[in-house]
Amino acid sequence: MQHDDIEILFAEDSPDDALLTIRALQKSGLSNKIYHVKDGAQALDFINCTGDYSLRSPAEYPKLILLDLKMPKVSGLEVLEKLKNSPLKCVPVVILTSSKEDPDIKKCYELGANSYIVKPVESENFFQAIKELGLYWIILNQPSHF
Amino acid sequence: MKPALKILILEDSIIDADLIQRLLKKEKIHFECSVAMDKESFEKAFDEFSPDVILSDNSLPQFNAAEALKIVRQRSLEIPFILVTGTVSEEFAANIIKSGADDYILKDRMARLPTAINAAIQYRHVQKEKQEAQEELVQSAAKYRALFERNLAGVYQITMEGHILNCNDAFANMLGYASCEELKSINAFSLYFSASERKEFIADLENKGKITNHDSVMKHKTGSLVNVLENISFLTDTVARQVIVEGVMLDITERMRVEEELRQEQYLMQTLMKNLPDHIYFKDKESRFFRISNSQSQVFGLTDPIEAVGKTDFDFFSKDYAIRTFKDEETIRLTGVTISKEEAETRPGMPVRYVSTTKMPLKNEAGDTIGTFGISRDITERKNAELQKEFDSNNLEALINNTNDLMWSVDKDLKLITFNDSFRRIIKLTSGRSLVKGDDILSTQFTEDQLKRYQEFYQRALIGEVFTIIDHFEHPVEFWAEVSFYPIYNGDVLMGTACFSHDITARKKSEGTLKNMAQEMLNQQVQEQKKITRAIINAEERERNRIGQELHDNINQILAVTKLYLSMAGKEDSKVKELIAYPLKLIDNSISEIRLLSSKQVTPLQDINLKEMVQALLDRLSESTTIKTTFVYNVTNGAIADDLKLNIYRIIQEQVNNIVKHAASKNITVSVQASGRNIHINVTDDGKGFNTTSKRKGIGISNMLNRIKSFDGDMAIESSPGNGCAIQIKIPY
Repeated sequence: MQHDDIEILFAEDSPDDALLTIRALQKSGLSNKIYHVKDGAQALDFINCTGDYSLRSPAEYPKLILLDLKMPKVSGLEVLEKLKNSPLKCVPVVILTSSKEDPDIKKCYELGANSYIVKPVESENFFQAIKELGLYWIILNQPSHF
Repeated sequence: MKPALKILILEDSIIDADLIQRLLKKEKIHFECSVAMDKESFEKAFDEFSPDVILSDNSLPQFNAAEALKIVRQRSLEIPFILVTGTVSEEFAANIIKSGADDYILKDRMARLPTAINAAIQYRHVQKEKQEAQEELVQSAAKYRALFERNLAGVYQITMEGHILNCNDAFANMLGYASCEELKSINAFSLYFSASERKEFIADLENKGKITNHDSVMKHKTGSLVNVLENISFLTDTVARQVIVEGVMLDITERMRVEEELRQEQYLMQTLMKNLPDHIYFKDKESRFFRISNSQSQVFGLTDPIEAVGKTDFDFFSKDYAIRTFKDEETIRLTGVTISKEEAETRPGMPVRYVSTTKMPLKNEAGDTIGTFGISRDITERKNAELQKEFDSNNLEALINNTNDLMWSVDKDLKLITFNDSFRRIIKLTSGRSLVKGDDILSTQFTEDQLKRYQEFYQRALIGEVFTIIDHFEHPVEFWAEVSFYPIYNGDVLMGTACFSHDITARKKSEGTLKNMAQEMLNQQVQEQKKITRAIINAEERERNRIGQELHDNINQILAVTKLYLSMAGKEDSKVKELIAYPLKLIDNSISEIRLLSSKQVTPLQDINLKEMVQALLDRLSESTTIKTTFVYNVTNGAIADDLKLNIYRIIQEQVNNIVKHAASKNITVSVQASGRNIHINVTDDGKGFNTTSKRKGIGISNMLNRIKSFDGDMAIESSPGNGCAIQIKIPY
């Protein structure tokens, strides 16, 4: 595996939520494999290899996408919709939402999201979600870490 | 050896002073001594001798021990002061001890003096150390305070319950508070974002006694989060008799953010190095690669870019090329310039690659050049196409310049854009001018006429018309050219016209010869035809004469004999005479008709008098009809050949017959006049007329035309309905 492979694409505009999520991911030993984008437009650029990411190879795709629902420019819902129509449609998507009662969660599931995590993301919260998804082995290619 | 103990003795009695010294010597105390007897010498000795110990008598004439002690203690607290006196009251002794003396010795009990000196020195020494220790303590507390207060890291002390005992401004500020005071009302534990995490690490702390580099998330006063790194340990406060928790905390939020940005930048950089089709390399000061892009490593035939590390251009390229690049890089390193150029990369056993490359100095943060880096783009395809194009255009140029055809193009202002060698040569030949691009094209035309024609051609060409003209020059040699004009477009915009001139003189000349031959053949044919026509006409004329003669000479004779016999028969019998009267009349009529007919048909074939014949024709017309005739004849006798005269007569006869048959006219004018080399025959009537354009040429008119053509003449008919008819005939003679 090459050192520059991105394991997790993480789209989140709030710096606080980003801090907590990245910390939670770091505690899972994934610190070098997160790529954080700060809005939906950047997320789409990454997914479609356009804009800043026009040189990114479409053959390399993340193993998980963490998507905040409320983002400027392009919402998480819109990103999800476009993502599921892109070559990256098979990549599992976990939605980050501030409320369990968010009506958008249902829509996200309809659009093909795999799970959701209620913010703020604490490591246990995150661990739980990842466990429920059974994504450990997908994300962590090296089982010796556990 | 220990330095000598310096003893200052204040004593007015020399004997007592001596006694003290002897006693001390006896006790083997190593010392030196200064004796003062009054205040003045005491002060002087104190300053200059700097004694270690002072022995003082109680009363001197103008000085005493209390005053001396006062002076000493004003200047130093450390020097032992022992009173050595004869008699003294208990009260005085107590007072002077209280004032700062170390001891007192009665002169009659001097044996205790050495011990007292030692004790005093010892005491003072201890005192000094104590004081120094205290001073040190104060200093260290101040240092600690400074360290605490001025620390960039947040430092705090809390109880096990989370009450904040103390913290520095850095700690308070880190979490958005102004000072420790503002924080003291808040429980430290509530400042942690995650209660579960906080519990976890407190338990950990209790187990281990200290925790280092713990990553915590704190709540800022504004509600946002602060990521910190902290060292925490227990501290036992002996005064307050409680265990406190002391922590040092660093805000790493910004550092984490920068690290994240750096990671992203690295990712983008890696993506660039991995996927950019342009080749990127970084070289150190010795021109050794230390980083190359994947595209560059592919060019080098490496599976991994890392394999290039430590290698140089000499490992991959031909020696010549490697020497060149090394020189370039040396220049860049020494002067700091950027080199941009297109160059041919040559590698042993490989086709030449052309690249467009930019090489720059690589500098560290301090601005020192630590190597070079560059980016290059493969332009082999473009370069090869360019070379091919150049080759093609050279060939095309040769093609254009080797043809004898003239080629030139002009812009919309009629300035020459370009032209081929032939054009240049011809212009030089015809006008003596040496043309250059931008010259006015019309300056190459040399006659007024040509100028006008070509002005018009260019005008047509410059509105986009495509056309070909045949041009004919007569100067300096006869010259025929086929000149084609084609518009030149740049996209949709008309830029000018391209002109091609092909020499067709040879063709034109041979064409002329052929045409002449054909014309001649045609003329001969026509002449033949005319001869045939005239022969036919003459034959007809002779036949008519023969028939006329026959009618006149034979039929009329027969009729005359028949009449004679019938008349004779009538003489015998009146009944027969009556019966044959009518047949006789019929015979007379027949004779008369035949005579008339034969006179019409019969014309003399030689020595013709045209004037008389036409006059007779017109007279007969006047006799038998009401038509008035006018005849004008103005031709010198003998000027016209007989066959032409006969034909003119027949033409007039034909037209007069036509008029009588169709025109219903009242007047006919006939004129036959010679003028110059032509005979003009006009026949005019005032009858019904007809439309000359409608095709109604009867056999009469075509007969007339045949006759006229056979003599190379022509005929014009002027007529319209209601306006009569005028026929004008012109025949050369």
